[in-house]
Order: sequence, then structure tokens, then C-alpha cells
Amino acid sequence: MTKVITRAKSLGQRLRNRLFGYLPNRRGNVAAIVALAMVPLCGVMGMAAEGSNWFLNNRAQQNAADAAVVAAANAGLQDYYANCASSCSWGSNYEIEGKAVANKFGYLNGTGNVTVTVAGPDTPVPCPVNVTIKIASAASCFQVTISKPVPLYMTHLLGFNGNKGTGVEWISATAYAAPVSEPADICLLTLGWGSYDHGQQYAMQFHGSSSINLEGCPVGTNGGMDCTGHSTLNAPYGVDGNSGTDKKSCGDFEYGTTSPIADPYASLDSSIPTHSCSGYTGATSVPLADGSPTAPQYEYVCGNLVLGAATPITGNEVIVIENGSLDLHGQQLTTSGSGGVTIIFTSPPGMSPPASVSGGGDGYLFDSAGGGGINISSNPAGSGTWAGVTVYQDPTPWNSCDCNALTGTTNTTYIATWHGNSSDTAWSLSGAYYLPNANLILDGATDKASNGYNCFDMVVNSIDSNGGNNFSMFANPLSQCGQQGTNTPHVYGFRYALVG
Amino acid sequence: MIGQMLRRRRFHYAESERGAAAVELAFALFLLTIPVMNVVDLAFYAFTWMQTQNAAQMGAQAGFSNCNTADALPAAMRCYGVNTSTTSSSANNLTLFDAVNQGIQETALNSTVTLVSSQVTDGYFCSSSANVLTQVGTLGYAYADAGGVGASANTNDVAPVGVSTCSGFQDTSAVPGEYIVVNVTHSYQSIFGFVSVASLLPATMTATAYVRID
Repeated sequence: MTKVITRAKSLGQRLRNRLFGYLPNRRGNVAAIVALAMVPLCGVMGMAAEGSNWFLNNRAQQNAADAAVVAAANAGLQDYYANCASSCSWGSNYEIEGKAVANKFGYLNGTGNVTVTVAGPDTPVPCPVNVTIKIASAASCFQVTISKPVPLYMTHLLGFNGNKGTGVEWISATAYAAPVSEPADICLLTLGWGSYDHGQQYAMQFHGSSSINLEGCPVGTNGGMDCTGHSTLNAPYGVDGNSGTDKKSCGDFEYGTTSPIADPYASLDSSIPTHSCSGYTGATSVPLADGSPTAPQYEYVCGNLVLGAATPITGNEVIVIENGSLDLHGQQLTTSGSGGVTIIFTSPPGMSPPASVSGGGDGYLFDSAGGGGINISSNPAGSGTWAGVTVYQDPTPWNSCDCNALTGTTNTTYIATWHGNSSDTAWSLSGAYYLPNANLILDGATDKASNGYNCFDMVVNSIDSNGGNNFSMFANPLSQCGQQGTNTPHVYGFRYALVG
Repeated sequence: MIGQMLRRRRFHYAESERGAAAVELAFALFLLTIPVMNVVDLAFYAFTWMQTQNAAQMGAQAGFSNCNTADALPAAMRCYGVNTSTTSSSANNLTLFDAVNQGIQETALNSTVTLVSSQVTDGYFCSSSANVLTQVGTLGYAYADAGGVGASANTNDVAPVGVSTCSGFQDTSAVPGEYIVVNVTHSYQSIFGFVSVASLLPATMTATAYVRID
């Protein structure tokens, strides 16, 4: 027994000596430290990898949600317009469309605990940003949310139980599509203020076998539109500002607005300068602006301006014609370089309708001799009140009378015809043509001015094309109106875009 | 004599413990470096993959934005040029191809991410109640290769090549939606070469994005 105890003591002594003997020994200490450090190091790297995985999942889900919400909004809007023929509603296709697109990105609703929720304006869904829209029942957003659980690994070992305490990390991404109030410009606008000529029922009519090409030239009306049987109009869209009750096949898309399309040029009426005429004998020329100052030079004509010679305008000019018309009389009226012109037809206050002037009319632009031409651009952007406006008919004195106002060829019948390029008269124009009392028949091809931009916008009382007339416009007639400086008529809110 | 000195010095170093920690640390760091390099390379691989997906999405969204304007709708007629590029510098007159391509290459991967086969796919799709999106038609050739936004179109070629309604899908009255499908590819270069597991992963990354443009 004593021997055993002695052996045990000896063993304990030896162990103690060995244990303490390592204390001063430095060999292998780094390996031990590194081994110990590896544990937290691996843990941190594991958590970093896990966290990165969450971000990866979130990014992928966000991409899917973005695509899904765009698809849902487009499908919903399509149904909305289709259903508006009877009763405007968003339908139910948008939800399926959104989920189908999410599936294309690998997120199938109900599979693998993936949840895809699609909500539309009928829910309604509040938009994440303040946006405005002017079509009924569309003042909220489409929303798609994709949620998916991701298993926890390293973070779970450290006691993290997921963002919802369920043992998994729920990754979620939400996307919104909001109605965007971007203006949709209108190239031809009929105001429908007064009575129409030619037995028209609507302010805009394209009937018969005439060939009309309004490629890139959207149309709008406040007096109804009817293009029945006219499949070649080719306008991108037609907007009826009369609650959409009088739209008939004008434009590839048709829209109705609850309020009339605003007339952006009417307010310029008060900017027409006052001038006193002692008589209305007319003139054969006007002094031409020298150079191209920023502020245009004003010239006044009392009575008819019947051009006696070619009139090249190289500066910026505003020609105010009181109680008269502009007769090219076989001459060329042109602008070039940075030059521009605004032609205003007006009448002194209190003289309504204008005085009858022998040999002319009430604010016509025409060519009595034939062979003349007009190639004019408006005063350039930034040149003041009349920037962008090429022809302006004072709406006040002619208001409430059946006064036609514009013709491109010899006018003998008082039927106003917008007569584009033809054998006898060449028309090249850039800018805005405001003729609120004109009842026009469109005819011929219209080019852009040599020194102008691709910009043509026309506001008239009515437009008719009753067969036999061909009308076409230069390409993309609204694409450069920003540079031209016009205040083009527009409406709002046709589309959805990603927001948030 | 010299041999004896060398032998003595060698045995002297063998018995010395000075600098042993530095040597051990060097070994440990060497062993640690390899997994760290792998972690870095794998993380960068994953990050690049995410960027590739993002490039596809940005391309698709750029195409959508290009077509989602008043003068570009309906997209089938007025927003096209799927396989053509324009030399115009005007942002308002980009072809669909240019818009998508710019969207892709303005991401962090820049020009190293490209369109698969250098083209964008444009077609018509319908969705089913099982949440499956199926292509039912393609865009007419006239549109695919015409000019940019607002360019003249031939109105005789409006209809999609394929079916014109979603008959047989969730709503028989629904009209197929026009989608563009953007496939992009990027070639990943491993940072640490054969040392890294990432070098064993597929170097060619591809990503696909869909967006309904009309």
C-alpha cells in the first residue's frame, strides 16, 4: 500500500514537473496562438460570407421585383384602357403577369417558401414618392414584394435567430411603379371654339380616301374627333379633351381627359403690342432686322402686306399686321442663319371683327400670284415673348365670327386650306402656328424650315380632310421643339415608371 | 578547421530558440494566406456575378426607359432597332439596342460585360395562372432592324409574328405583352489563379433580365 502511494506521488511529481516545465518553453507557442485564433477568425469569415449571401439574395430579389412591377403596371394599364370602353378598371391580369415575371427570375410564388405579392392601384398602394397624374383612378402605385427565407449557419451558432426570430433570415425586396406625369405633347390641336365649315360634326375629322401621314405627330381636340375609316392617319395617339366621349379612331392609341386640353398660346394675346394706325393702306415691304440681336425687332403694317420682292430675314423680327393679310404675291419669305420671324395678325382694340380691307381678308396668309414660297422659322428660344411662335392670330377680334384665317394658295372661296408644298407654292415651316379661328383643310406636304428645327405644332379651330387631299409632315415634328422654343400643347400621365 | 567551424555554428543554431516564433508565425501565416485568398476570390466571384446580374437588369431598364415615352409608344411601332446601332449622338433618338447596350456598359463592369450574340431579344409573351411567362410571338423583322425612337415605321407590319391574343392563358381577351430579353455575359478572371477554388468555377458568367416595354 505504501508502495502504491509512493508511486502515485512520484507520478504526480513528474506530471507537475512536465507541466510547469512547458511554461518557460517557447517552442510551438505561435502555433498554439494561431490555432486558438483560427476559431474566431473562421467564425468572423463565416459570418461575413453569410451576410454577403443575404445581400446577394436581396439584390437578385430586387431585380426580380423591379421587372415584375413594370410588367404588372404595363398589363394593368393595358387592361385599364381596354376596360374603359365600358367601365374603367385595372382587371386582375396584372397580378398574374407580375408573378409570372418573378418566376422568370427564379421566384415562384408558394415554392420554397417564396412569397410574391403583387398589388395594384385598386388596392390601393401608396406611392413612395409624391407623384401626380391626371387620369382617373390612377393616383396610386403598383407594388411587388418578394420574400424568401435564407437558412442561418454561423450566425445561428452565435445565437442569432433570424430577423423574425424563426430560425431563418427573411430576405425581402419591394419595388414600386408610379404613374408619371410626364407631358405628352400634341402636334395638331383643334380647339373647337366656334362653328365649323364644310358641314363638320367634330372639330377634327379625317374622312374619305385622302392620304394623311402624321407619323410622330400626335393629335388632340377639345371639340371631338372622328377618323373613322381612316387607317392611315399614323399619328402616335389621339387625345380627346371632351371627356373622351368623341374619340373615334384617331391615333394608334386613344385617350380621353376629364378636362379640356389647355391652350398654351391664348395668354399671349395680352402681349401683342399696341399700335395706332392712321389708315389701312398696307405695304409691300417691311424694314428687316439687322443682325440677330436677342430682342426681336418689331415692325408694324397697317392693312395688307403684299410682298413686292423677296424678303430674306437674317435677324429676329416680329411683324404685326393690323387689319390685313400677308400675301406672298409670288415672292419668297425666308429666314436664315440664326434669324427668325413671328407674324402676328391682329386688330386694334374695339374693332371686332376687323375692318374689311380691300384686296385682302381677315388675317390670311396666302399667295395670290402663285410661285412664291415660305421658308420661315420662329424667333429662337430665349428671344423673348414670341420665341417659338411663327404665326399668331389674335384670338380676340375674330372670336365669335366665322372667319377663316389661313391659306397657302390663292384664296377666292374663303375656304382655308393649309396647302403644303405644291407646284405653285413651297411651304417649309418650323415653330408654332396659332390660328384659333381657322377652319383648315389639310393638304400637301410640309417641310421644316431650312434654318429651323424639327418642330411643328399647330393650334386651330377645326381641321377637316374630306377626301382628295393628301397631307404629310416632316419626320419627328415634335422632336426638337425644346430647341425651337415652342410652348407645345400637352396632356399628362399615360405611363408607369419605376420609382423608389 | 573551417569544416569544424561550420559544424559548430550549425549545431549552435539548432540549439538556439531565438527567432523560432518568427519562423512559426511565417509558417502559420503562409498556411492562413491560402484560405484567406480563397475567401477573397470567392467573395469577388460572387460580387462579380451579382454585378453581371445587375448589368442585365440595368440594360433591360434602360431599354424600358427608352421606350416608355409618349413619342416611343406603341413600342412595336416606334421604339425599335433591336439589332441596329445608330451613330446619332442624340439621346432622344437611340435605337433600342443602343439604349440597352449603354445601360449595360454604364455599370461597374463597364465594357467587360457584353450582350450575348450582340443582340437584344424582343418578343411577345403571355402569362398563365400558374405564373408561367411564355413567349407566343416575335417582333416583325421590319421593326427589329428599323431606326430608333420615332423613326418611320411601316404600318403594315404592326402585328406580332405569332399569336395576337393570349387565348389559352389566364385571360383569353388579354393582348400579349411586348418584352425585351437581355442576355449578358462576363468573363471572370480569378485574382489568385490556381491557388483559389474560384479558378475551378465557371469563368463565363451569364445573366438574363426581362422587362415588359409595352
